[in-house]
Amino acid sequence: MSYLRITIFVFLLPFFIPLGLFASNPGLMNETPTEQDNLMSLKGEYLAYSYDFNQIYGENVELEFSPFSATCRHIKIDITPKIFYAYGNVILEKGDEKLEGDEFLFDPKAKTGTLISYGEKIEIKEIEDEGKEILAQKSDVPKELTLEKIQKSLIYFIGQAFDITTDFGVHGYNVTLFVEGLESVKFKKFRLSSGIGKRRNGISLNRIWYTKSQGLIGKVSYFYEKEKKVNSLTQLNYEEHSVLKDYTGLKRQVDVMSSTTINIKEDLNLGLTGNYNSSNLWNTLFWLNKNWSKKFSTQVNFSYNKPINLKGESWFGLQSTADTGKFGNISFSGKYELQNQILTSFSYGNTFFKKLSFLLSSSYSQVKIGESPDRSKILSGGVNLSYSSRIFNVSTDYFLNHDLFGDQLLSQPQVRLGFNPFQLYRGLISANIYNIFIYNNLKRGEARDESYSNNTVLTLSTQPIFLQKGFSLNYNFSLEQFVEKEGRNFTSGGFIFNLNKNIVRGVSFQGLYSVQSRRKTKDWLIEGTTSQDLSAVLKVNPSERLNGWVSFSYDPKNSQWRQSFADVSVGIIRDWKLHSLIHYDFLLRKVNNVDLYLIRDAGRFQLRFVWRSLSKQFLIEFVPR
Amino acid sequence: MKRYLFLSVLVMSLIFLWDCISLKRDYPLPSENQLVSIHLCKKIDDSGDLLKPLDIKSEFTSKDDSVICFIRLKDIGTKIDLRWKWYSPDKKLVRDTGNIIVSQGDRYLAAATAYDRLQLDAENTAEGQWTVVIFMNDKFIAKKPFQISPSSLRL
Repeated sequence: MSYLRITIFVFLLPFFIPLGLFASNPGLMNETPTEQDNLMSLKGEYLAYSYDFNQIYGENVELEFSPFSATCRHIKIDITPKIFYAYGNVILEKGDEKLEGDEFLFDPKAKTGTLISYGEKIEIKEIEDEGKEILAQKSDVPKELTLEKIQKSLIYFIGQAFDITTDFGVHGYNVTLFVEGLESVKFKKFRLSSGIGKRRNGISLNRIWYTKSQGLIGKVSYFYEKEKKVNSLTQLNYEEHSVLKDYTGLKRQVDVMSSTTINIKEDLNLGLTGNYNSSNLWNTLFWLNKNWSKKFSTQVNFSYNKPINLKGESWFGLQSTADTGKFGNISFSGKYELQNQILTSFSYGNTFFKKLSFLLSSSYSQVKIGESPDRSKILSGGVNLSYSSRIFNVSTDYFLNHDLFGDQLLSQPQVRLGFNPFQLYRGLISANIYNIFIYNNLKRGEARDESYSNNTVLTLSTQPIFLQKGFSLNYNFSLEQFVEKEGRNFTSGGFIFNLNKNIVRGVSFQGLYSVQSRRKTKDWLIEGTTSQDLSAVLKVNPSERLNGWVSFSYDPKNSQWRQSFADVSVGIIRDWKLHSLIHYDFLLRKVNNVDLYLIRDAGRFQLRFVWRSLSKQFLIEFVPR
Repeated sequence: MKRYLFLSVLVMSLIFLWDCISLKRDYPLPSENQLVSIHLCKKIDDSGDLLKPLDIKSEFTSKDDSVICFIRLKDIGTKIDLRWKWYSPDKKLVRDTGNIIVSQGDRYLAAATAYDRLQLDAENTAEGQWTVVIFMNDKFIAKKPFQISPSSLRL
């Protein structure tokens, strides 16, 4: 992309941002909430809504949320956590009833609130609509909500009339849009935020689109929901490829996906899912789930799966889980297919004497081998017993895999023993040791194959040792020994020195020197490799707006510089910051990569302009957070 | 050619950015006399034109001499008076400053600071959560709760 194009785009960006935001939801442009959908109306001398933070600030406001109406000097609304706070000469009316106070924290949906007055004493009145229970009010007054914060938003609106819908969407009338503090376009009616996403019952046309690679695309969905009873979603995707030139694949493709859940009773529910693809591929699953108690449940299911060019499979399944408390957890599942295929599994787990845990699992499978009449039969199982104490932990595993069809049996016992990290010299040094021993026994017909291996690891690390104020050292050492029957034994070890020094306030230096060595031993022969690395990092963080570091890496063994990285982040104006990442390769003697980011943090989202030199890409990213 | 095209687009963009360089404002403006911040502190720095809070805290002990409630306002264009009300943990009013004139409104002030001090008495100050409430021109504008702990907890 040429620089001219980039410049044009950047200058027009303030207009693309709102258009981009709202084009993704065409309903934003003109939809007016019906009386039924409207939760609360606000009229004020000054109302401001921040799109970035989803917050409202208002002055001299009249508000209505049936059956209440109120006036106040100020209002602050934080939509996302649903905090509504009116203050300053609050006058609350309901019919002929009139109450006055200084603060009013309320919930317009539950029609409840707390009215507080500061006179000779603090008086707190709980307000509720008739027949409604008083809910605990959120005592959090939105402290972080100020007019200044809204005016520093990337996108905000100013007007004198707002509506808040039951799904907490915000509509504005005669509003002025501000982008980065600059006055932009005006709207007579505008949906400022789309509220909490809620799907409505019925058919919806999600998308009709055309692309050069996929042709004409259409997406339609049907949704039906009856609260706590039925939930059903069916989606249809259609692709018409015949409109494309030189397209070699199928002329058209249809995908249908459907999922329905029905709650018959609180402890009994069933579901049906189905998928169909026009290339003759489909599957369906029906399940019925029964919770006998909170700790015992059973599910029965039936599924049919039809792969492309293969015979379909019909599976019947049953699975059950039980938590029997001190007698442990048991689960079982079994599936049978009409072509004599079987899948079963069983597991039992329990903890004894608080520290000894036991797990037993077993499975058996009998499945087709391609289209041949033979079936593979595999029985596998495992037992795990582990004990952990304050000083050490020990665990034994036994794994068995028996291929009954191929007459192959693998048994693999293993033992793990580890000491919990322990402290030496009053916590100055922390040490850790663990050992794993594995034995394999593979029997294939009359042939038998045995192997074993043992791995021991020791690590030592020191706490930071302060030589001066702001100057510390620490040291890590590790040693590993691996031995096995085949004799591919090795010993590896290494250490890392770490130095930290605060030079001046906001500037620190970190040095790191490491040596790693791996030695292979066989009989009297010792061979191996050693590597060394010397790295230095200079960190600069003198203020909130400037943050960066630069690192260098050097290989002392070969007397060679390796690479350098630099990362700098600078706050420019408002919430814009420039971030750059540079990589220099000393071996190739060139700047390998430069990434430049121009970032605007805007509450609910982040706007990023990215330049990547390696791929020569310029990207504009709109990242919701 | 490219240079002219670039300049044309730049000028058009700037015109758009400033909404066709319309000087007439037809959107509402916020009121004057905006509250900027409110802090509880132990000391005040009065060396500059504006006061500054020092040793900002939300927890005090009964051995502290006093609690200061400091307030900063901006864009003051009208007459304003401020009033502080201090409430003990049993929600009773223990100090009321009455209305104190901060600005006569005869000239615009970009910023103004003010504070009130609650004297603590080691023997008689109740421990628990206190509340200080501030009124501007008889309208509630802010409150700040704070804790008074036993002096033995003082660090």
